[in-house]
Amino acid sequence: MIRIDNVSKDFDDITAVDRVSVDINEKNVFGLLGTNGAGKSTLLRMVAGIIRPDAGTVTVDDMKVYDNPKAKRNLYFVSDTPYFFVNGTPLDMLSYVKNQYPMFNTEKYERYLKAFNLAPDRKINTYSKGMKRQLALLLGICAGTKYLLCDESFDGLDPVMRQGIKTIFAREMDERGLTPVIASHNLRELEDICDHVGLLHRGGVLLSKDLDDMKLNIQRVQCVFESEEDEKKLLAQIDMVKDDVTGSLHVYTIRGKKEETEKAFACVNTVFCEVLPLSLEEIFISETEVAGYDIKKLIMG
Amino acid sequence: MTSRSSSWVNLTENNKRRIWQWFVAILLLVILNSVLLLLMLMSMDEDVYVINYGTRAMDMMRSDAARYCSEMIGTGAFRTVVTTFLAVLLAFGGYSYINDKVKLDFYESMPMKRGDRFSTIWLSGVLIYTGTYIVGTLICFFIMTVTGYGDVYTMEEALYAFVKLLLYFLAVYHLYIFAMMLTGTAIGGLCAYLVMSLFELATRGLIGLYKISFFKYDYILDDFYIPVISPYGLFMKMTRDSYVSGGRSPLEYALYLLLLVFVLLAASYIVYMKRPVERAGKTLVFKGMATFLKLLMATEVVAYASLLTLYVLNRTRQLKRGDICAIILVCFITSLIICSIIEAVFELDIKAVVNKKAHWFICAGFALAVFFGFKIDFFNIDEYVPAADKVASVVFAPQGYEDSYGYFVPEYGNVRDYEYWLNNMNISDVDSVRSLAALSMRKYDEALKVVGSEDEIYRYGDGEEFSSAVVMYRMKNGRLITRQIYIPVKDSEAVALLDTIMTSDEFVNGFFAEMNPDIDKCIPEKKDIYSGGNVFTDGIHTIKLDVNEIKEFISCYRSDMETYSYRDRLNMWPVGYLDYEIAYNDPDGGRVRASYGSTRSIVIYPDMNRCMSFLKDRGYEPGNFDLSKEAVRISVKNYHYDKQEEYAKEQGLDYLPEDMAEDFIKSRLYDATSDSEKFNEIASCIVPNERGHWRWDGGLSADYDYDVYVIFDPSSPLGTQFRNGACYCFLKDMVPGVVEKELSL
Repeated sequence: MIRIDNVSKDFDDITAVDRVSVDINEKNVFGLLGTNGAGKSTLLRMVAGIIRPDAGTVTVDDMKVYDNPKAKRNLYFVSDTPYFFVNGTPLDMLSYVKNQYPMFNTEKYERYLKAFNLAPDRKINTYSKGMKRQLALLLGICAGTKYLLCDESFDGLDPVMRQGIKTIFAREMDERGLTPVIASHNLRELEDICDHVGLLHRGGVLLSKDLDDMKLNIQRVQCVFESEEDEKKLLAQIDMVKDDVTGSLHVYTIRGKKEETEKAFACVNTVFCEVLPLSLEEIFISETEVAGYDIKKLIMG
Repeated sequence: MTSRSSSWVNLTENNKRRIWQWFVAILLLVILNSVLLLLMLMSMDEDVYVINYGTRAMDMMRSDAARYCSEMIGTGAFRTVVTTFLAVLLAFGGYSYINDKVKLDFYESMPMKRGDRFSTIWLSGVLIYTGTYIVGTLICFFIMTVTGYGDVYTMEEALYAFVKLLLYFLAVYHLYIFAMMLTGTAIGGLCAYLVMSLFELATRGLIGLYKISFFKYDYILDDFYIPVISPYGLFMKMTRDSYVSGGRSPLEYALYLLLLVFVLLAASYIVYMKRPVERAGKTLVFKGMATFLKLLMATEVVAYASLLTLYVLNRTRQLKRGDICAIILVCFITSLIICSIIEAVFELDIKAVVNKKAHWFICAGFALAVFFGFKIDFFNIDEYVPAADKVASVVFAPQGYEDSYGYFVPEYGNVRDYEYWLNNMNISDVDSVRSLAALSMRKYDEALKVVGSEDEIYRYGDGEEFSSAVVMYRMKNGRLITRQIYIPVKDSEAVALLDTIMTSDEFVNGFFAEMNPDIDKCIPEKKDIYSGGNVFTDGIHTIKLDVNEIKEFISCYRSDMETYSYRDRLNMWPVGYLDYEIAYNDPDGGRVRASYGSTRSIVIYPDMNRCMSFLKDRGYEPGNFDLSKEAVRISVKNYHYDKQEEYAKEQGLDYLPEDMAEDFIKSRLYDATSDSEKFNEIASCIVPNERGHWRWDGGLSADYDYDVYVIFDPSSPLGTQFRNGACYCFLKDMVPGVVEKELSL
């Protein structure tokens, strides 16, 4: 487990990360969400042991990570701007990374290179931006580490490639318990891959929850009541987050399990009642609005 | 801890990233070095040497070849420059990633200890240098052997050079690494390196200029300007011979350099480990350093500006109120400009020029404090005479006394005056030297108060004369304090002290170069360098001497100098000069060569009994020369310089133009036949005047006002030798009455 405990980091007069505490459990895909400047990269760099926290501790499997090769051997960091050697080829990168990570799976690397149409002996500086990102991710995946830290790594990947990488993630998680930590400013990018999401804003954590928990605990129902009495009766039974009214049509966002919600609606007379599916985006809007933030401004621009 | 195998793997991987650095090192140390050596050796044309050097052609060729080899495989300019360049290049190439956030993310996230990464990069750089150096040297050895110029000495020299250059390389390498660690950009690193390399030199230059501008007595040796906490200064001192280093061996400087190497390495490592990664891209990594560095650099520049203003105003020790205002203004303006520039560079933002305005005043204040500190000699440095119990011994060197033609040491050739004195003179009578220094400074200050400036000091008093001497106090704590004093050589107290100091064996043996018996070894047996240079002459009469006679004469001189008296010499005029030739081997090498040579001269006085006896045995007796037998006419001119000067002053001129001066010059030709009485009187009063008039000790000297030219009978021996005639002079207060009368205005 990666434990981020009360970690802070200042850059000159700017507080990049402010007393953040998050636990990243194994075999989950952890999504680190936040706007530009929210502190995602800084937090990820601290987790990767690149920069030292001003306060707090970052441990990987109970080992402090900064300047600790033993802890670092458990994680691989894929930067938002991946670095490749000048005039280097994927084979040159393999040679270097393999020496750093004894668990590196060369065979798998070569296989993935072929699958993604990345020529092993071609100079990386002739690759497109997306190809470079793929290569960086493949190096990380094949390094054989327990944790893979990806900083905005899906930017520039086309949907097919993104899906390909996600599939590999799933396979690696399944085969050897890989734990990807993915930082992104785009919620939609993480929607179909993350198990757990941490939302950073202005250096602090707004929320950190399992997506399943979030999905299970929030419902959307649209209905038309027969009378105002029914409406009042329902409101007394549910934990309403939001109510959008169009004429007599109410669209409720309700905190609680689906069964509990359906039970509450069964007790009142409605002309029409339907439980609607909620996207991750909508769940986030709801959760963050509760916390007093306008999520659209934060992560959806 | 990193295992041996993983260290090797890391090293190999690091070297893969540094192929271009390998390429540059191979290009310079292997290819260029070998090609240049080959070209140098091939360019030597035996025929040209035979034409130029005759029988010595092969010796000279071998000697030149050895010099080329020394240059290319020793500590010559080529390897020194290449080493400096490679040290900078390899430090930059190895550690430049610390300024690049993208590279930092990659390398710092890798499972490697930061310390291991530092040492891997360090070792890789050292390997590139040493690897190419050794290969380049071996190829040079091969070339030398094939061309027939290789010898054991050159190989031994190459080995020493490798050790010295490796130390130098490490020092520069570490200095650049340290500079990079403190800064966050490539330009910042380069600037920091330049500042660290030049700051001490600039500070020493500044102090030197202040001393020259404001101090009368402080004497700056050339060594003062060589930085001490610097790879360059220590390397320079390490590679020169121990004689120049005041007896300190190259090993001592090598140890200092080694210490500097370790200190810089430790500092670099500590800073590397403490360096916040996120400061990459900033000019300075540690914020606290900025103010300190800024004040240090800006104050130095402002202090230079204050001196420049002083020179523009053409003032030295006397400043008027307006000058002071100008200096204060310049200091403030310079401070403002420099502080603003540095701030903008530190912040990488032109708008930062207006930040931290207090620094403008602080720097200007510091610089002015330094300026006026030197101006008023706040610490009383200039007139400092150390307490006797703190001084171990003293060097006292009257500058120009007995015009010794410089100094020569067989093993090292010609050496600088102060180097010779420091190596050979240890006067234990510290009290006499201190008393003389105190007396001289007091008298000189009194004189300055009267005449106003040093340029006018010759006008002071009646018959007062000041002659300069260098005094070097060797302090018991190892320091060397040097002063140049101006001695009132006609003051009876000063004369007494001079007599005490200068008649001591320590002075005689340390000041007169010919007192060193080793010099005999350098008198060449064969006249294959210069010919006809071994003579005794009074300027008119000459006795040729062979090598054995020269050695015998010098032996007589040494014997006579045992009873040397400063005071007695004051009233004597030299009988003549012993000129002799010396030749010596290349001081840098152990090869047999005789390509260097020079002529030396020693002054012979009438009280040197053994010398006079030696000359008498060879037919030379000053009293036996009767000028009236060989001369036919004597031309005498009186320039009346005192009256010329007086008149020029009345006219507001520095000196009289030629046409006006002519009115003051009186001349007359005395014929041996028609003016025989006057002629004979003049002939008996004149002395040959070949070597000038001036005497350091203010003793018996020529009368500057008179020119005497003697025309010989063409059929006489002197007439044959000189064709027309020769210059003579009257000694002071010995001008015949008839001349004074006839040539008066």
